[in-house]
Amino acid sequence: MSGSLWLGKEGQDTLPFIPRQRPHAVAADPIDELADRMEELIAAAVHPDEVAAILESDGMTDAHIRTTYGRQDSFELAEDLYARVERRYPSVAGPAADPWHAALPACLLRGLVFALPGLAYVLGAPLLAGPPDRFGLPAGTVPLLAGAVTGWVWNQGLSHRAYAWLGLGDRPAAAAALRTGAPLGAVLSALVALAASGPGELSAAGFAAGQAVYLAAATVLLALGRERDLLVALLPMTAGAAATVALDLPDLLRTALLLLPLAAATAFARRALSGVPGGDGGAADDRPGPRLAASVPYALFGLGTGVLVLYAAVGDVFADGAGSAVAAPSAVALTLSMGPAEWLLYRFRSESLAGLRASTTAYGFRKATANTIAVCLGGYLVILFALTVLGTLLWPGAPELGALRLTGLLLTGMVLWTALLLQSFGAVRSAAAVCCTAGGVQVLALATGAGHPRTVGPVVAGVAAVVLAALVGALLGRATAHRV
Amino acid sequence: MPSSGRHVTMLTEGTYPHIHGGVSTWCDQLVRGMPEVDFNVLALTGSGREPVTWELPPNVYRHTAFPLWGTVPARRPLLGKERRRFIDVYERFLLSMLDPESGCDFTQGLYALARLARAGRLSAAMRSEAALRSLMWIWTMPHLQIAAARPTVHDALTATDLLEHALRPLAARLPEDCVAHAVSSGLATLPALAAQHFDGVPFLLTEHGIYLRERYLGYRTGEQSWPVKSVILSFYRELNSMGYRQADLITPCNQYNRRWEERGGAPVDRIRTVYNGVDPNLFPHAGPDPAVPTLSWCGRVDPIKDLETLIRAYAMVRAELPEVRLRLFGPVPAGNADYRTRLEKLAAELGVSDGISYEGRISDVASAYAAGSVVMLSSISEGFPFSLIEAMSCGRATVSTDVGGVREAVGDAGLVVPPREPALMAEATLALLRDDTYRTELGARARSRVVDQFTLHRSVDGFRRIYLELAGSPEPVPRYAPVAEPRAEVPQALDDWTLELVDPWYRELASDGSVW
Repeated sequence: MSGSLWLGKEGQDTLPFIPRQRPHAVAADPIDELADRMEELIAAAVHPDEVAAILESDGMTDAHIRTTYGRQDSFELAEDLYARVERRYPSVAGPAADPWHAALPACLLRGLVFALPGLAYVLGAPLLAGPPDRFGLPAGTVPLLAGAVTGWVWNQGLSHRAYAWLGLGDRPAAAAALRTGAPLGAVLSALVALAASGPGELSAAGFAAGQAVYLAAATVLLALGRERDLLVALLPMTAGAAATVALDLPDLLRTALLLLPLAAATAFARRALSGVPGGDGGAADDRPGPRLAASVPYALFGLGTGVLVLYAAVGDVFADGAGSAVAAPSAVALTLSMGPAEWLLYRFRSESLAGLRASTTAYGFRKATANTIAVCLGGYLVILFALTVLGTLLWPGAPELGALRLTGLLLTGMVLWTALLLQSFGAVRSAAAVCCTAGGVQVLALATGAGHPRTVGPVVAGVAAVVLAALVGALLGRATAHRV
Repeated sequence: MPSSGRHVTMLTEGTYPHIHGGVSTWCDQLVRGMPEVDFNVLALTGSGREPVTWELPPNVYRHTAFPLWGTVPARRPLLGKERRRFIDVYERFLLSMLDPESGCDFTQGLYALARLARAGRLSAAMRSEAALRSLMWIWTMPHLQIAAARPTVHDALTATDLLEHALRPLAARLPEDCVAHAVSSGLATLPALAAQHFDGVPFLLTEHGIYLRERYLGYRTGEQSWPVKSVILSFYRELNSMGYRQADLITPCNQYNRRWEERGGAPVDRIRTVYNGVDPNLFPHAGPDPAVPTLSWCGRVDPIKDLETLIRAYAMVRAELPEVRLRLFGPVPAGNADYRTRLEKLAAELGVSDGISYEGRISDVASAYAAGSVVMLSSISEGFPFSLIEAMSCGRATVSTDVGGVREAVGDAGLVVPPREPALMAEATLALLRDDTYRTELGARARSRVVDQFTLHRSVDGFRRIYLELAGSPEPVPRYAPVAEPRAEVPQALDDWTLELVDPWYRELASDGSVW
């Protein structure tokens, strides 16, 4: 009758079933007979009163107990029954639930939709072509990067806010946050790109505006779990980019192929949002919702990782000017590897959960966790290595993959994965701090011309990786960090 | 500031005003019945974002949903001496639950934790690695039974988390000039216990179901391992007993519940039964029986109502009187569709499907009782069921199972049979169906029993006096008598005649003439 907060788990299944009396079984002692029938229930009980509760829920009244069993009431009978049966400690029924199970194809799909938009640069390259800008960089570099970083930071924060609402089970509020946040982010990053564009870079600013709109739509679709829609939207552009390998497409067609996915993604995003019933958005009432400030570290984390990835891709260009090649395979490998990285994060979580269930001491758990981290991180680096090698072989005009570049890339990958690992355990502040510091140092080195990116990159990434590894060891070895 | 008895904090867990059900109905009746009392409703809920499903009357001046789940604002963890002191308190608290031989006191431990909770420090402290290790150290002590269950790190984490969430209400503050009224045992008593200890707030505990028994049944086949279940149920058992020992007054809704309360250590002189009540005006005499002899049942379609026994009994009745029908009124709650299918299959096996109808939820509940020649109750567990006293108020003869407070409600104004005995239930039902005079007489007796003893007016009035009494106010009514000891109260009921005459249902009764 009285309510319980765990009501959802109660109900019909928890009503005990006591096997009915078998007509042929005539026991000398009726209590022995009852103990025999209830053996399983009594053996698993934690207290005699639990047995009394079961007896009463079966409809056994004190009057019945007095006449049939010669005991005063259900408590006395329960004590007798509890004493007659040896305790057993049954394990939880059924296989242990794994809340961290993740489907590999879904993760790979996410990696794919993270990486595919990069092809827009391939397709749009002739549209952006022009004389080097005031910094001696290829035309359009500054507005494109400024827009991309702004959009990336904004949308990381926005996704976190949407996921926070979804985590509270409030889909309308998540949709409301996206409805307001996504267009705002698009406008903001387009304005930043426009402000950063120099003379003759209007087409780059236009391209950046399109990129801003795309990022906003993609954020909506990814937050609402519509990766498939996003993939469909990107297909025409992907085909177009593939065609450029053999054909020289006219500018008009290139523009159309760039605008088509943009329009499709925006339309899909609108549809996804209109599918969610409107709500008060959590703002109109006083029920507690996620704080805006809680999303800031996630935005900063986006900033740090964004800078690290861009640095790996275009660091050389900044250092050596318009003549040098963009390390496109590195950037593509890093973004594509985010799919397997996500899957490995889930693997780590489910492996460490298994560790919690198998260990009986804190030390045993720490050891099991260290093992799991080594396996998952190793797996990620192998995948990143393979993707990079493959990309360099396939990409026309890719810069040569030296040992130094490869080391830098793998160290950057290690920074990204360990940072994501920390973030997934709620330690987003330290992860963001390390990534932002590393990214900041790299940018600073570029701006002051202190050291070439080829050496600065691996050194900074190496230091960051060591710091993050130490943090991971200190944090994740503790069982309390693994609350489900 | 001393309490005036006109300011009450009502503490609920997972019920009023967020969820519909028996306890919520009772809360609503109480609050509406006392417009002169200011109510502050503190509702323990899951996320704190559950919608309010009851319309709150104006005398509920504040309603707070206190979430047990969701994140707590991050606070600086305890360090150094503070931490050592906490670990000492926490380990004693754990020992008081897990090792009765240790001599540690649960009550003192809970107050010490409440002090931390009120300073906003408890959650962070309990979520620390040190607290986890304390539990792992204690429950692997070889002399404890729980050690034999080989608890894992995961078990320790789960148990600690459940305790941490369960203890959150310790941080809730109540106004110092109120009476704290917890409408169930368990977690809802936590803020009341703290307010009583630290601020001297009077603490009233009402029980409808038996909280501890429901926890035992809920965790029995739950997803938790034995060690977790053992810790959590030990916590509930100790908390329950502490509530019983500390409450200034315990008001079960029937005598039957006292068994568990006394078992839990409640002092006999502080238990006072206050029966649930029904408004006889809203459930007026239902008039003549339906043309077709019908058995009516009203409630949630749920295994605890044991409708299988009812259907079996119905099949036996129909073998004797083929024209009898069975009408089941009430919703099938989410998750109970399987149970309904099982019932339909049973009816088909017995060949009585064509005589049974599922009427679903209805707005006019009184008409459900009116639809029956006899109203049935087949539950295997009940507190003091509203459906029974409502049917009685409608002047219907009843056949019900002997569970909880049913016998106290029915008295000699209906038939009571043992639970899970279809043959006996059928026999009693046939006796009523075959004897029109007997049936009518029992119905009339049932209505007068409700009007005499189980009116809403009386129930609410009982609590009004208890609030004043707990607040230490001078006796408002010169001759105070225990509220709901029915036998002792006949003279008082007569004394109150002039007072009660103003109530509308007495006009109806006076013209109806069926009572006196």
